[in-house]
Amino acid sequence: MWETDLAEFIIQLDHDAPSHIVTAMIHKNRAAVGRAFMRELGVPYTEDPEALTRIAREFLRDKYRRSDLGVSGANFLLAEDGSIVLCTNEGNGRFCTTAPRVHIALAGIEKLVATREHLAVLLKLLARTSTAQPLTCYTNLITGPRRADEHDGPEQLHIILLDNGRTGILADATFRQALRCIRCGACLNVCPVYRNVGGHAYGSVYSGPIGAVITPLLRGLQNYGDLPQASSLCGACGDACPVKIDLPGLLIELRHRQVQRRLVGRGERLLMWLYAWALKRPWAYRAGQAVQRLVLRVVADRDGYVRRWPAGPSKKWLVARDLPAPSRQSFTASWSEQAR
Amino acid sequence: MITRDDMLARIRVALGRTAPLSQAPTPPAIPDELVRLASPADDLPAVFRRCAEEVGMEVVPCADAEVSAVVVALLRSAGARRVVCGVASLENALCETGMELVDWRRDPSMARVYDADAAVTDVHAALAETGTLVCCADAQHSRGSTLVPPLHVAIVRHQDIVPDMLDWVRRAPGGAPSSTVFITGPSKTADIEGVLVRGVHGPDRVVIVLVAEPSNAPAPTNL
Repeated sequence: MWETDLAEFIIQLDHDAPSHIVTAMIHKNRAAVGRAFMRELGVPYTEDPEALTRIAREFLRDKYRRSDLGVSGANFLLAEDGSIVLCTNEGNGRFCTTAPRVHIALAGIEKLVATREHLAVLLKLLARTSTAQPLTCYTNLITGPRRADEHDGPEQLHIILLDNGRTGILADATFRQALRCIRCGACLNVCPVYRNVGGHAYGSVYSGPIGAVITPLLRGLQNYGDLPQASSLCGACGDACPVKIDLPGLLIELRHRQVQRRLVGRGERLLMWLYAWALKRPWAYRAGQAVQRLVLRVVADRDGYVRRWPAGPSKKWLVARDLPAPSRQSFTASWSEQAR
Repeated sequence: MITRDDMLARIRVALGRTAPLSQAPTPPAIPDELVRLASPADDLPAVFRRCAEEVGMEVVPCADAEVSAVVVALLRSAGARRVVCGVASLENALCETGMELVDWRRDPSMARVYDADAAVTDVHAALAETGTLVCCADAQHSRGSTLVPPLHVAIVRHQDIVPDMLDWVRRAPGGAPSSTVFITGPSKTADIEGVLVRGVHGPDRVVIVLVAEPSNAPAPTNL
């Protein structure tokens, strides 16, 4: 079994995992590709993207010709005439579905669009928002296997429709909109969290804001509780989304469900309860601030930064961060002094 | 493994329905003013040419009488010796030049197509909006010829050009061909450090011979 998209092929050779839903090897550089090709394909080392691409072309052409089975996904499924739609730039999607004798397409049921007109709209959106192209180089509508009077193409075409948790999302009126996703990757590209941590940190093929929403929905909020929390809620993803999924809203709703379903630790719950209690009582809030100011000033280093903490989660927090100690006086206290 | 009925039942339950719909729901109408990017009032050959060039295809305009001479000159300058010809009217002209015409019919393995230097095809339509070639599979058109050889020469006539993909989906006949491919540029990748490389799996050159309508042009019959 060979991956045929250039990025996925390189990832397969290098025993790695994809880190972006459109450009899967955005985390690798040309030297890593050169080393993987030298090691796994026995070719002389080169870093030239053009030369590396030629090597992959020759290697995979041979595989296409000799394979019996081509497996594809689908960007869309067209209800009107039963077509599957594949968008690729390299042409690998066309080769896999033309040269081998049998073609199997796997697609989630949320990929269905009603009519060709609707497909036209979504195709216009997908290419522009994912790679800023008017259309992908090859947008292929496949409506059945080779017909009797045709000269090439597969003898058999099998389409496997996947539910795999999707009807669970469909049943939830709040999260249903996440199934609109066309996997363009625009929310990843604008996300400050994704851009810093990369796709692997999301622990799933779906990374970025959309991954933080659908991975917990598909695989259980209890297993992926960190994902909705790891967001600054800046809203850039919601602005970038071409199908108007309210990603920041859904992330907040997932946090809400974590609290509702008691997926938040006892310590955090107690802390938040205390915080809410104090926020409702100005005297308690002020007293809390005074204590915090005092303690932080005591443990701070001479240059005014807190770097050490005896124990607990705050200790870990300070491993990679310097916390400036608070000033002697609170802002409200200085304000009232100034006003006098 | 679940059956088709199981899956449909799950979807029905998820949508809060108790029984199958008696008729398919009407999907929302598409607002043309939002979606359409080219209209019949535009200079379609000019829009098509500009968009096709922007995505990296070459465009050679010519008159109807010049087509075979232009194609032969193109193939010669590219050094093509073995050619897949999908346009019957050009076969004689290509043969006379001494080029080998590859027999691509009745060979699902495409064995000889893999050895070809170039393919010459016509198109079923072209989209001005995006500079796109629309190529469908049928008895006269293979899937492999627009994919396998490194050079694709496509003959596009002015009457093939429709403004927008919306026009194509509305005009296309009911029975869909087994394969319809929208070609918008040569095969490309930017997977390695974002460096653009052409000709990954498909052709690295697509040349469009853009044929002006003869003065006594018949009504369009391609669609």
